[in-house]
Amino acid sequence: MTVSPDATVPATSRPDAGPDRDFPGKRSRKMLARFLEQKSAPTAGLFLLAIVAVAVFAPYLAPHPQDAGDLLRPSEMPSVDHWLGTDSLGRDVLSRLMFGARAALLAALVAVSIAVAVGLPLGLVLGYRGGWADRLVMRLAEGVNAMPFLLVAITLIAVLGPGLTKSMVIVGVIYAVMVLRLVRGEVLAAREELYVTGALVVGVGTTRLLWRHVLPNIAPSLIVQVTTMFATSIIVEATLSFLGLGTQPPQASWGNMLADAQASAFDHWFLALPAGFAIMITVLAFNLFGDGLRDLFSRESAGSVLNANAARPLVEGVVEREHSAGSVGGDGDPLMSVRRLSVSFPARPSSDERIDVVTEVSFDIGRRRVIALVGESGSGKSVTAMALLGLVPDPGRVTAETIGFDGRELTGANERELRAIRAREIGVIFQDPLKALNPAFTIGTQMTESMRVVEGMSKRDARIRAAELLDMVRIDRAADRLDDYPHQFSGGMAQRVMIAMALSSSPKLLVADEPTTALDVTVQSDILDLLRDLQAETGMSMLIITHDQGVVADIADDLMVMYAGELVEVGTVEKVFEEPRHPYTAGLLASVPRNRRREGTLPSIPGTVPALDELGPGCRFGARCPFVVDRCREPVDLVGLGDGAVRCVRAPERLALGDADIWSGR
Amino acid sequence: MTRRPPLLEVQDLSVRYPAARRFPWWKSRSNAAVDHVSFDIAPGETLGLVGESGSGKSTVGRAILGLQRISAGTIRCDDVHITDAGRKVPRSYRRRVQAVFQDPYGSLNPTMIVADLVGEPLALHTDLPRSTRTERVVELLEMVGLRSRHLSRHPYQFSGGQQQRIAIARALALEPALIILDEPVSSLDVSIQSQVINVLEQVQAKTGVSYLFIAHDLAVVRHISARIAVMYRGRIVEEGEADRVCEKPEHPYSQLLLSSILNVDLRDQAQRRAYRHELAASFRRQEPTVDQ
Amino acid sequence: MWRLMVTRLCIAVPMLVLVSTATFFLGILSPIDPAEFVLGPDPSQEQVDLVRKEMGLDRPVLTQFQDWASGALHGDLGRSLFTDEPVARLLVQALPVTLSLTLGGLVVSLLVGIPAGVWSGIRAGRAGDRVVTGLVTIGQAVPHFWLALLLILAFAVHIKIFPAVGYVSISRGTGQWLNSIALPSIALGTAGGAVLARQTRSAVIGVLQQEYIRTALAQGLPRRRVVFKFALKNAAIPIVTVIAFEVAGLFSGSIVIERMFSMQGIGSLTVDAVLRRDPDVIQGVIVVAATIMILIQLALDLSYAWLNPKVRPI
Repeated sequence: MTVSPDATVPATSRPDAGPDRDFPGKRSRKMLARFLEQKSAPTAGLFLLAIVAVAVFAPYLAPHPQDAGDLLRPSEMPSVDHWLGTDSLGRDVLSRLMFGARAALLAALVAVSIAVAVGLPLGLVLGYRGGWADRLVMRLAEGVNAMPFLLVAITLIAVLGPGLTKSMVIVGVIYAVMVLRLVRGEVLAAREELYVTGALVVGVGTTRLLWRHVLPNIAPSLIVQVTTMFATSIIVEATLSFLGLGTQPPQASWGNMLADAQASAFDHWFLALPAGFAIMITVLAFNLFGDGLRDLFSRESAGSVLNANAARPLVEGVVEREHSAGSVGGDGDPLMSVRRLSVSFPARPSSDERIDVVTEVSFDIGRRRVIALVGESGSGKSVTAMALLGLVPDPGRVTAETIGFDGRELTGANERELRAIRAREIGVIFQDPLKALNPAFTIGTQMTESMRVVEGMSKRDARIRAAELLDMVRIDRAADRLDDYPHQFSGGMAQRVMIAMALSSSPKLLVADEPTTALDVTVQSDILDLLRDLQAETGMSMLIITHDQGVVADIADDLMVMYAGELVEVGTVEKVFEEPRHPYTAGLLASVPRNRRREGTLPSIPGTVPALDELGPGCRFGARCPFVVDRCREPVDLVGLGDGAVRCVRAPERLALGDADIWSGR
Repeated sequence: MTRRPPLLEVQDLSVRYPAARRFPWWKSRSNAAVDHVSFDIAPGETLGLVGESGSGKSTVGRAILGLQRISAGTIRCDDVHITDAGRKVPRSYRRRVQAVFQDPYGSLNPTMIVADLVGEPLALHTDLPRSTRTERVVELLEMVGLRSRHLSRHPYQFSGGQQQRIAIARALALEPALIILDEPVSSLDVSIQSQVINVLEQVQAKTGVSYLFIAHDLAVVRHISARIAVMYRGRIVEEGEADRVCEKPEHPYSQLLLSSILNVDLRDQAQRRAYRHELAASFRRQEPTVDQ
Repeated sequence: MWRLMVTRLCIAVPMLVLVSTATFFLGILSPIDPAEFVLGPDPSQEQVDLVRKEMGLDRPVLTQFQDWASGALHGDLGRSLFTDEPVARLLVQALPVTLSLTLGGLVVSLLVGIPAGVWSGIRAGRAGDRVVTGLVTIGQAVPHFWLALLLILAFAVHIKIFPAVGYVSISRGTGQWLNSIALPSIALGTAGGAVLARQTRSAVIGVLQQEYIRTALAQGLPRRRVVFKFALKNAAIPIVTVIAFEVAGLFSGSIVIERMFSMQGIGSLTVDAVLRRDPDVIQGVIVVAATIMILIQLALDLSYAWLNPKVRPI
């Protein structure tokens, strides 16, 4: 299967889209800086340090002994002598709280150390080796994990007898089982990673593979888990001590302090507060710290399209220059007319600085025309298409002077208007049909849902219509297949289902986002044939987003080429393929391997696509262009030329752009 | 013209997977992913292995790399044989056969820096002192168009094309006789694809390494390979000189595959389409309706 | 569906045998001799031998196990060393209490956790989500027995709405039963609800980023419809797994909560048995708890199969 070079994730979250950048500073220093930016996690960390200090120096810090009290002053409220009052035996609560911190942290340390020392190596080896030992241990581990934790702990304590250290050793052993499961799972996943295969191929041995390659990669999630394990250990210690199975009186523990508090609940309610808050805040601090680490290690994720909105109209009233657009091949009354469409994303998560991934794109889609939008990954082609439908995921912001569709204005449209357009006027199909279909519902349910909600059809009618549609996209036994789930379809068949769904309301425009990229070569041709036939039958317009010039040659009438967020060339496919006017288009066409006898090395465009946050004011292709001149440093407009348009200052010179020698000599 | 004695010889290679059983007491059967495949590669030659998903082309590559248990057949590279892999592949074999995979980012350990990634094979298989090793790593980086200032960077700091260059440098470190290239350019952008293909050709010209180029894109394979083998459902259905296979394919499947390639040439593409429709009608290729 | 059930049961039975066998031998391995414990400190050797003979502890270990196992198969789980009551009867008395609390806690945590998680998952990153996430983080950090103590202080001692202690059987009236388990259920369910809310939130966020959600929206379906008809079923898969752990956690929690509210449930039975070293009772508890957990696991596996068609055999 082919992995497409262009996912629909916005370019800002694609770290590989950028070129060779000089990253200032080391990775660890950057991580630290990001960690400190979080505020809550570093605060929690400081607090934990303070608790550790109190626990270690409790004998010197505590104003009173933990186990001897003034029996004449029991159950007092806070005072100058006793900041947190006294318990029923007249002991100072603050001092006991400090010594309790000792018990809590020591207990957590014992449990977690055992868990890691036992669970980590076992998990690594079992996960990597597999086999019967792994199966046996995992069965046991599942058994232990399925049982109520406390019940298992208490039963084991029954064997060894109560006491803080013994109890926490037992807790540590049970935690070891959890760590083992976790590590094994991570190793199992890592084993499928290509870098492990790569290491095996160069002859890395098992020990080195586990310690040098696998462990550093799974360490982040382990560290997070261990942090939360500290938090739960503290609660477990308190619980066991509360039950009389952990820390034994008169030694102080937050758990047995609460047991004392319960005993005197009716005459000294205040006693319930200090120990409880101590537990809560400490656990909270561990959890916040763990959350901070998790956010640090996890990759930033895209937002949901659920909260996507329509394009906002541009506010500045005056249009300074005419934005020429490729109004090609139409009859002067385009179906869709887009002017100055821009899409921006935050430069970094939760940052106010925004980066344009699409910059002022203007074009027309003619009626009954098939228009292709071509570009490499990060060029902004998919985002442009999604912006037309108001389907750009959450942090993305879309603006446009106008998005006219069949006499209506889509900028500033509200949710309901937009929904109506999506439901009846514009159909969409996506790159990976098996991801675009919901795995938990039959395709019948997914196909009929919009017919029933939008058109108000009855369930029976909707099913009949769905079967007709499947038949139309040439799926055999259409009526039977309605009850199948998406995973029962092959990629090509699933894409047919997607097409049927998109066409269910006879839309005027079909947007196809890399419709054949995830498919096999022979299946790709079938799908393109189907799309071509359906377009001819229905007379709809089609916008095809692709990176493949072959797809353009096969199906499109018109062509728009995008580079680094801008349109660089627009025209009919025939004209552009015959005589490209922009150096980028020419280079791209030259570097595609043709199926013909070899003529020396393959021409290629030097360099890489610039990162969107490092663009200068001039031509965005300038750094890679063999024809670059001084004028290219100034902003370049998209200028109408013939019946197309080009964004190149040298376009009128009619240079020999397609000369293979120019693209071969670097 | 007589060909030199082959460097790699694959004979009657079969790889079978146990089929899923509905009940544990059912008799176990197996599906053949690779079915009696034989081919060879001469020193310095590139063989293209073409097929669609599920054709078994990647499994052949994995078997040659010793990553896949072999059910039957033999593989010989130079003077080292591997039969019934699954147990350890001899170290001498590892030095001879290396690989570059499709996803460059995934195949480079994200926690390691370039110097360690490219230097690791040297550290494992040679006893070069550290300084000589670094010199050699820089040499390798320069061969694939990277520089010594890249040494202390992590893979994520590079673009996809550059990551693939690092992977190539790593594969070259041990001066192997053969590199298995499993879809090495199919996840790259078009403008980067041709760069990487050119790097591969330059490296071959310089070192005389042989390639097994596994890919689904016939046009790319034709450009880089001397000979092409077409795989379909676990078998090699056609093998021959690259231009011959691409101009006069004999097996109906190769014909269909070839006619399915989209061409940038507009007139040619229209002709191809018509030809393909004829073929498809006669080939009656049963498209699997359910994913295996 | 049937095949899944059969295979699951095939795994469950040996599992149960394994757990009970392990528990039995754990008791044998214990360095603490129940006979000595019955007799108090420093008994004479004759006394010990006599008691051991009475208790059948002098027989070979395998014979003891045989007797215990064959008894267990017939529903006879031995007798308590202290009250001399049959363990089976003790368990039958205690089980409704613990199950009531577990159920009550589950209801509370589901009622709190799922809506809160869905609500904040849909608004991820906005103000409402931050408030819920903050509350959830705090909720997760509150030990349930402390919360129970606070609830008793507030609603039983200061404002006398609920009883501070005691369990009322459901046979004495649903109202009274509910009244008696209200506070313990809230105490139990809060932390669980927080965990559930957190997991639900991340499951919902994960699902809403999937491409099939975009497909549904692109079809022109209203957001509400997309979330409630489609997304929630997808999100339910990871949530069901969490609920499985949740139930085991609630069972654990009820051990402590029962003691807070002086209820004679499985928890009290266990803790007393441990403190008094009453081996038959401990074994009985473990066997019953294991059975319940295995049954719950089975139920969850079946619901998982319903949610995820890929694992469902056709």
